[in-house]
Amino acid sequence: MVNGHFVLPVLAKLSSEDQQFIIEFVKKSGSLKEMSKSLGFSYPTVRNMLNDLIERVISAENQNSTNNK
Amino acid sequence: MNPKTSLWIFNPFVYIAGWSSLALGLAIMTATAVIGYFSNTHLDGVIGAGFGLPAPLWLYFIEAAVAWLSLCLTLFIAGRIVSKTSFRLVDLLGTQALARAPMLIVPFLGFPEAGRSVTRYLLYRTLGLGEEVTATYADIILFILIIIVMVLVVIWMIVLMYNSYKVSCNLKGTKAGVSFTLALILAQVIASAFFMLTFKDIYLNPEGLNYFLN
Repeated sequence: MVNGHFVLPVLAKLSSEDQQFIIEFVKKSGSLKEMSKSLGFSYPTVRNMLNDLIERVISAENQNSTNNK
Repeated sequence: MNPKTSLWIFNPFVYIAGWSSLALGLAIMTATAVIGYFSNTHLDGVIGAGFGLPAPLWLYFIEAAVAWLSLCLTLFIAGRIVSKTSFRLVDLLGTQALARAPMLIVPFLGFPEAGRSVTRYLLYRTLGLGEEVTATYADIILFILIIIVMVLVVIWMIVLMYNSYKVSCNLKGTKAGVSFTLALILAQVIASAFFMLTFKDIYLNPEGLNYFLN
């Protein structure tokens, strides 16, 4: 067991669904069209999912930078 | 209702957008215009419809195009102003075309004569326009049913238009609701002004007082 105060990396702070989205996005070479096909959602829906995810990543980054101060 | 079924009915744009929704939407709009030609049903406004005079087929296509494009124009401007992210014009055009699909029901409501006869009856009784006509109880009941169906169809279409805007321009909440409402009102004004200025002779023909009367 390891005890201590650690700041989690940004990716670890995201939900498992968000992490899965990022993994799939990387595997699809960052193509929203390919993501749209594999997820079965329309292009703007997937792009909106990505935009929402970007906001959560930025929020997690800001949280980390606050904790590191 | 199954959530997926409900999405397909009220927000199919989660699954279909862009060129595919544009092709499907245009096909449905074409069918609506052609059926409207046979039942003399004019969709002469962004959310409006009326049973009127026979007109050339091209007018029904122009009515459909103006109704669709005027809202696309105002929503595009609204989206550019309020959305924090960029969006594709083809998504807005395609999903807005598909959002007009419920209007396919409306031209069928123009086939029963009750719609016209009760309109003539009401115009004569309330405004003294046209000639005296009688309306049977059956006509009035059918007319009320037609109006109820038309209202439901228009509500369904507005919900689809709103969801199309939200998905295409990545908007949520109050910002989406207020900008959509303003864009819809402005588009309705633009479309109505265009129709009245361009086709005044057809809509306000001198023989019929207005096109509802024939």
